[in-house]
Amino acid sequence: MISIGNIDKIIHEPARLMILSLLYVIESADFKFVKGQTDLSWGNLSSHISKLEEAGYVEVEKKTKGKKPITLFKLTPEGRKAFEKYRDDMKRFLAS
Amino acid sequence: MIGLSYPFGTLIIILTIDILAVLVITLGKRYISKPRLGQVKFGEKRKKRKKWLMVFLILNVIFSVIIFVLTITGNLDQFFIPNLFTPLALGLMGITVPLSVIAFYLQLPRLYAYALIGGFGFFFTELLYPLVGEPWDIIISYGSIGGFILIIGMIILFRFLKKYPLEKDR
Repeated sequence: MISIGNIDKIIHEPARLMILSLLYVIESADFKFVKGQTDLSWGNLSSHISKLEEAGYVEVEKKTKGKKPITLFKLTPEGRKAFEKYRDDMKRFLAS
Repeated sequence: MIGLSYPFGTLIIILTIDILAVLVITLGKRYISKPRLGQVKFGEKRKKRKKWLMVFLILNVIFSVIIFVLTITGNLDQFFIPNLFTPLALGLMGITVPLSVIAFYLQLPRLYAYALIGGFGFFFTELLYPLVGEPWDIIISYGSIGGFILIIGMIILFRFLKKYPLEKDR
């Protein structure tokens, strides 16, 4: 049986869970797309992305397209694994 | 049509409309949807669907070329029951089936409806021919179908622009 204390706290936060769920099903997306899909404010999204980046779950790539700067988010292999583990842990926890 | 013999005149008009459609989609994506929705690269599942769609579209082009060759050589009618069945079969096979497959792969439900009404276009043209003659038969049938699709598109575009106003980048 799994204890709630063992659930990944970085992922177990509604906004971050939303971001990771989105990035899990795509290859990469820019700031605007993630913001539009999650309905988070610029500041909120930025702070959650920073936490996910610190945890090594999300890769942030800054590029320029023409003269425009673009910030791209991508799930790292560790982030993908952590998300799958979280999903399995939650399933087991809720089933127990 | 435009000084060229049948069916080349028609073919040039169709190709011009196709090129314009691709141009509208490309420019719309670049100047309307991308600045509002942002950029996204889809995952493996979606990429696979796109690959299968490509294969299907290539087969569809081959099929269209065969139909075109049969039309210009005057051999098309021998494959179908003459009169109204030919345009109906052509419309359903040449428009309804491919557009429905595209709707399935792109997960775009309203395209099924366009596929169905678009497929009946040739049939309506043939029905109208004895009444109004050329070129009004095709103008009325495809004009009304195209007009209907255009109105729906404009409503969707208007709703989209209202839902996703242009935001300043940070």
